[in-house]
Amino acid sequence: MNVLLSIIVAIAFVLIAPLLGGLFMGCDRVLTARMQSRVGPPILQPFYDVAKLWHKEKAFNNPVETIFTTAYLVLMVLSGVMFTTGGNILLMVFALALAHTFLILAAYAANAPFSHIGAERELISVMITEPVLILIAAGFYMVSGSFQVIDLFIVDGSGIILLPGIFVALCFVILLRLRKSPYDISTSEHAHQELVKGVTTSFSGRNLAKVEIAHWFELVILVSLAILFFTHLLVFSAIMIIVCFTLLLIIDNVFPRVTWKMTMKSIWLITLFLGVLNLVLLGIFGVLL
Amino acid sequence: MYSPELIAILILLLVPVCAAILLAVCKPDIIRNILVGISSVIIIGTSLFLAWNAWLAPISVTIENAEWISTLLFIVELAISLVILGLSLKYRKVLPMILASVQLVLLIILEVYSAGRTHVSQTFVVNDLSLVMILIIGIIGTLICVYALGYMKDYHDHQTGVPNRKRYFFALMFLFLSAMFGIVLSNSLMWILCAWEITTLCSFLLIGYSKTPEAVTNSFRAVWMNIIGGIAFTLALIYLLYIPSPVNLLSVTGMLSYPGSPAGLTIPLALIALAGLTKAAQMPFSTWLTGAMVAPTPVSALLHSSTMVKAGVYILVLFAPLFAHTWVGVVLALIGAFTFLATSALAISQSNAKKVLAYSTIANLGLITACAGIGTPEAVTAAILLIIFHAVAKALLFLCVGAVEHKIGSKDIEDMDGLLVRLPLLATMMVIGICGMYLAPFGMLISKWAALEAFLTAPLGVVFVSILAFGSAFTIFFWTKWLGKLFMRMNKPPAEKVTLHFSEKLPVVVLGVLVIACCIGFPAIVSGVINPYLDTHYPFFIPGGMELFSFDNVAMIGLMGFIIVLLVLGALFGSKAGKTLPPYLSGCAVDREGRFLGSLGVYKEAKTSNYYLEEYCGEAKLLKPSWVISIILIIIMLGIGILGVMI
Repeated sequence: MNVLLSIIVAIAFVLIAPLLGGLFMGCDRVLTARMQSRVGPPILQPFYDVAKLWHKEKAFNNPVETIFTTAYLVLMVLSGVMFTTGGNILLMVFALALAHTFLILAAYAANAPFSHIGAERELISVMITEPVLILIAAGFYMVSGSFQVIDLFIVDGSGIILLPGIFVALCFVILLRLRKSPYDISTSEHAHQELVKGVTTSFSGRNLAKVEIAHWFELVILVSLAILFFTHLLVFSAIMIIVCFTLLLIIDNVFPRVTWKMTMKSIWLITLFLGVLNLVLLGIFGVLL
Repeated sequence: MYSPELIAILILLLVPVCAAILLAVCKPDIIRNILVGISSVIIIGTSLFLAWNAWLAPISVTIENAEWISTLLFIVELAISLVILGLSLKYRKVLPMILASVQLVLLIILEVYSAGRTHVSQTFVVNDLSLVMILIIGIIGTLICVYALGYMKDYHDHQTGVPNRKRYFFALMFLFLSAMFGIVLSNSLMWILCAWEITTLCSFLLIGYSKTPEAVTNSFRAVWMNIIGGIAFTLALIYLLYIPSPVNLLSVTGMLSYPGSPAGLTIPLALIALAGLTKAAQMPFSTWLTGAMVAPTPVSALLHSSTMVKAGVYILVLFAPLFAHTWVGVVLALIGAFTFLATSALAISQSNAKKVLAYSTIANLGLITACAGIGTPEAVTAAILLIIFHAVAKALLFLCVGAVEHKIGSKDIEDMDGLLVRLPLLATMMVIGICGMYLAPFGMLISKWAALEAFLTAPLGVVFVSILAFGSAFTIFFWTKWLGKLFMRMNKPPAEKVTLHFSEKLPVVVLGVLVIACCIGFPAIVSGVINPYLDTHYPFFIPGGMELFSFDNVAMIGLMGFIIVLLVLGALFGSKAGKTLPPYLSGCAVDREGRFLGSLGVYKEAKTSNYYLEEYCGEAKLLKPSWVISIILIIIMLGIGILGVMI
């Protein structure tokens, strides 16, 4: 991809992704509310929230929170830009991990019990996610011979046919990164949570707004990662994404009391049995294709 | 007349020995400081000079009278075995005694059978790999010795029960450096074996420095495990004597240029791999390195970062081209990868900072072993990068932990909260070290990427990739929770004014700068040092084949680094306007320091600690199964070696 096009795509991503992510969150809240026989907020509620937060008084437990939450947002955007401009998927995974590290550090900095436990549990969810993301990168490499996202589009056939197990693992990671389940992990503007505000307990005002926006970016990145599995079937992929999304919401509402230990065990078992097995089979039979 | 390169080599080998002798004799602190300072400057200067020359063109020199040097070294080896035997007798340790006797007998057999053989034509060879090692030993090793000057003063102030044997201590440290130079400079495997045995002896004596019962037990554990490696090495040499070959197989260059199929070499290769595994503290031999933590911190730093364990992986990387096409190499890689996974998990359960560092060392060495076992050019690139980045960052972390321990009186990570406020310099360096160990865009992460790329093309690649993926997740967990502690807001009053010895401050700062310099300079390291090395050992190697080093990716890594720099600047100079509020504690009574006001009017601190996941990652849970698995793998490796299976 030439430089000019990359820059245009990057700018488009930075502008559009938060809109999509915010809408996504809004839909999520409405749908979840309906499933629980509530009316729920308007679909644009996430945007109202962030707009309000942005104009709040500047207050924090520790001044470094400001720079750490900025780092979280900036690196999340960088990770997305790398992805959408067809860059390196591993580098994107590493940038994501770095972004989360900053969020966790911000929560640690408060040195307060709630925020500390929130940070630890966020860390656990990062630990659960990491192997899946690396295996996705490895799977793409085995399919296309490269870690560059752009090269995936050149390959014949879609990722979903060769990497179904990896795709399932990714779906569960998206479920985890929505920060709804398990109930004792991370943050909780959502229903059924144990910890007050999890990793975001100590943030307020603009810092919290940045975390929210970064969260929207993250969702868009993860969902577009899922779309990558359908590079040749874009219409089908749109349908699949909606189906998966609804399915995930149902799963989430059916299991409101999943703990982090159960999450770790189930996601890692899925990753091992479906993801790794998928790669092993691909390694054995990949030569034939 | 001697060439300047040969003189440099001799300086590196002999100056530490002379310094050791002088240090053993001179008692006053001031003379010791001067001696250590002067010899450090000489060693650092000479290693830079030699590395520069070797970089311009690989050096291989021959000296006359190699025969009588060999005889001298044989006497040294016998003396080492006898010293270990004597000490085992004194402390009534049966296992080390038996193993040391076996080693003694084998050494004599080796000497008798090798007596009439032609000697190695090139005595010393310095290629790009040994160049890297020379710089690591020469710079990091000596910096640790300098640091020890200040550290040992505080150590004896704190540990009043330990007899002051500083002369003995510093002499051993320098002897250690000399032995390490011997391993990386010599071409003859016989000489390497001798240096190998010297490192075993030095580590044994240094671990037992404090002479407490725990130290004695741990030092004997270290020695018997390392003697197993020594025995394996000796057996490998004896076996090599019996392989008919036009080249002298008792030398590194001879082994690497063996004209026959490597299938004939699998037995000595498997034995050398076993020797490397013991020295690099891989499972099941990991306990000697974790036990070595009882020694004063400079010893741990020396054992972990620049010497001893690096000798183990150096030997493995050296013979990586031979491992490349054998199943011995694949199983060796499996042992390494398994060690990486198991010890990364074990590190989660530790709150003692030195223990965390120890497990992380073993884990990283496991990764290097895995790369060496796979042995492709990509894997060797990853291995060398890992060696460099690990040496710098780990030395820095050990020195920081040692200094912090003396300032706050604890090496427990739980006590390090808010260290950035309490000890700004040391904590900043610690942050750099920790980031260097696992975060993008720092060095270790780049090496892990290289390893990932190498694994994808290896036999059983998916297994290695999965192990790396899960192992990396564990490393993220234990490093981040440590890092978080350092950034915490302070509930406690800052420590009273503490001053750091200049001899401690200097190495810490220099190493901190080195970590960053290595990260910035990694493309130069790859193209300037690693590619030429691979060029000479792999005939079909195409430089620049790895995706990681493509311009786009390096530019992206650079961009990430640039963003980090901006953020650090923002943290330092950005606006801090705003109100600092007490933390949220669920509406309970709270004052500005984050304390509860109890019902009887007593302030109570709300305290939480990190997760250690004992039920999954505890030593009690993981160690024994890991030993069983790794012992089975080692037996498989030796079995495959005997069968001589090729890929």
